[in-house]
Amino acid sequence: MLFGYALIAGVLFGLFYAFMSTGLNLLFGVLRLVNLAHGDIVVFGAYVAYSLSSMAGLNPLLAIPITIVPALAFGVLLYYGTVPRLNRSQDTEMASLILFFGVSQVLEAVATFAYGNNQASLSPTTFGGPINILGEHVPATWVVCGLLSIPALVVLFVYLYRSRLGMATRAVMASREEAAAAGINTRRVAALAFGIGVAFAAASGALTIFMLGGVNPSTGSELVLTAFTVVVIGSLGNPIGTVVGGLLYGLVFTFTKTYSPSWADIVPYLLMLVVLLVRPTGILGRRVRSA
Amino acid sequence: MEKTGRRWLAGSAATIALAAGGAALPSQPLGTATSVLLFVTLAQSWNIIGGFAGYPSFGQVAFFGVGGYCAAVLTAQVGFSFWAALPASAAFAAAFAAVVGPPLLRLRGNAFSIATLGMAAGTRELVAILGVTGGGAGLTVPTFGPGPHTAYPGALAFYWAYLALAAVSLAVVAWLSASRFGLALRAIRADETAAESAGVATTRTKVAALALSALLAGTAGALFAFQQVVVFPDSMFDITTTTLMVVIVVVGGRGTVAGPVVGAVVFETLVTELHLFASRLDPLILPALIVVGVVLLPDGVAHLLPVPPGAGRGGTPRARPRAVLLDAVRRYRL
Repeated sequence: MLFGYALIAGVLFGLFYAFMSTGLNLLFGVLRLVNLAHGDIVVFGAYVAYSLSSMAGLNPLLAIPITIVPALAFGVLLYYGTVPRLNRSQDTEMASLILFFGVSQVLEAVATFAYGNNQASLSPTTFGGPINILGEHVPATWVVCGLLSIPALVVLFVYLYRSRLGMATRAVMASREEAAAAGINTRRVAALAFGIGVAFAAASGALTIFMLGGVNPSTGSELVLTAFTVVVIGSLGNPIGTVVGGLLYGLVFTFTKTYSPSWADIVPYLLMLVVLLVRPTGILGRRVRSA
Repeated sequence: MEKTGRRWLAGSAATIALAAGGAALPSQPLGTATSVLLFVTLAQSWNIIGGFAGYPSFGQVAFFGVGGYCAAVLTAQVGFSFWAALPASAAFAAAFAAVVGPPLLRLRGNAFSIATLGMAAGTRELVAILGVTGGGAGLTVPTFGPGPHTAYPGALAFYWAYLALAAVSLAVVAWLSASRFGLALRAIRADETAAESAGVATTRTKVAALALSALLAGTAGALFAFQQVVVFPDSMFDITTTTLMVVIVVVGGRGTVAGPVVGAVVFETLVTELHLFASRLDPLILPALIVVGVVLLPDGVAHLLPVPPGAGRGGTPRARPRAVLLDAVRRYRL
């Protein structure tokens, strides 16, 4: 039955999209800037998984623990190397968009030098044959990747809602000035949030290579749009909104893919425009629309 | 008034000199000059919405692509001559902007930038699945054979065509800079809420600015499609085109008349030369320059230069939002 298949696949893809997009939202929430290099960092994670599997013969999912620490460090360094400079600009927002666009293109060029322009993909039967869920045969890779996104999201929520540092992070999200006035080292919190956002992006790369059926250097610019669509649907700066946005995006994507394949690539953008038109703040948004 | 007249005269003289000079250029520098002129137009297109209105569109290539595809469809499928398709494509791109503009322009800042990025990506996908555009396989603009087709005019003619378009864009922006419309855009950029309460019809003004910028980009796209002969979704909706527009204007100076021209000359020459001398490292060098440039000079080269006293509205409006706003209030007699 097509409907049940699309529904199950939609939820699995939705969980994955939520995981893949959440780093972008964390960065936006804390720093009010859009990391246009987000998608390219995801692609780097995907290439790590690809290399581990195709060159070293290891389990590609090992890429998740392997990339987290370097990605975190890269994110923190990138923060200290660029953001204090950007804050001196007359128009921080504009400068940051251009800067991260540049970073994105640099990463894309590096990926092209290292891996070429061809699609890098791993066997869709890496985790075994299709799994029977409620009578529908769903590829094992989708099930594994969809379910693995759940603990990743849980980790983020424990950090944000159950730890002192997470509380400080949310305080900075709510108001940077008031958080600083309350004695929070906003710069350190922001640097860490930046690192965590980048680490989440890189970690989700290992799943991306399976969910998208492969990656190439230019996949990154498509992914950042997908991630942003998910985040905007859910509402910018709201972590729970990203999960809602991810699920909605996943369902819309798989249903159009099932019933009208040629429209599957454009419907997500239409969805974003419709959400922006009806609710400029996103589904769970309370903030003003000038972000 | 006399000063303005002299400027127009100087502009026309420079255009004629460049037109004559082009004929003397060998083919390679002529190619570079042609692409510089294309980017003068595209940068001015971005300057209207991103510079004057302060709405950083990251989807400007959509209007370029829509204009190009409209010209290709009209000549290949409907049988228009290119000279009939050119104004039709420009109008279509502007109309397209007037349709997508209102929802997009409700957003501001980052949200607007990314929504426009999504709009451009969505437009490319739409073009890639429609039958009339030839889908992903592309479309060929007929340049010879029977019927009302326009013959392919050659490199020098395209140089002249892009020169004429660049001169028109420069004139449009120069007019805009001194007009009531431009003043309203600057007021919106300085403080939209205050501009609205001062009587500026903000939505209508912003949509008009986007449509005007799309008119220029669409015309350039139509010329580009004719020059390329074969158009593909990936070539007409190339995100790098948008990046270059943004970088050129930001480096050159946003909301100024001459800044984008300087930026276009510097950047397009750089891009073309880099491509000739280091084609392998080419995709790395330009973005690396952007990163280093933004980190070292977050406000662009234009901000290194002192704003001449009395430069008034030709300077950087953001530096004096209050002054601009008060000026707007006075002009609108409020």
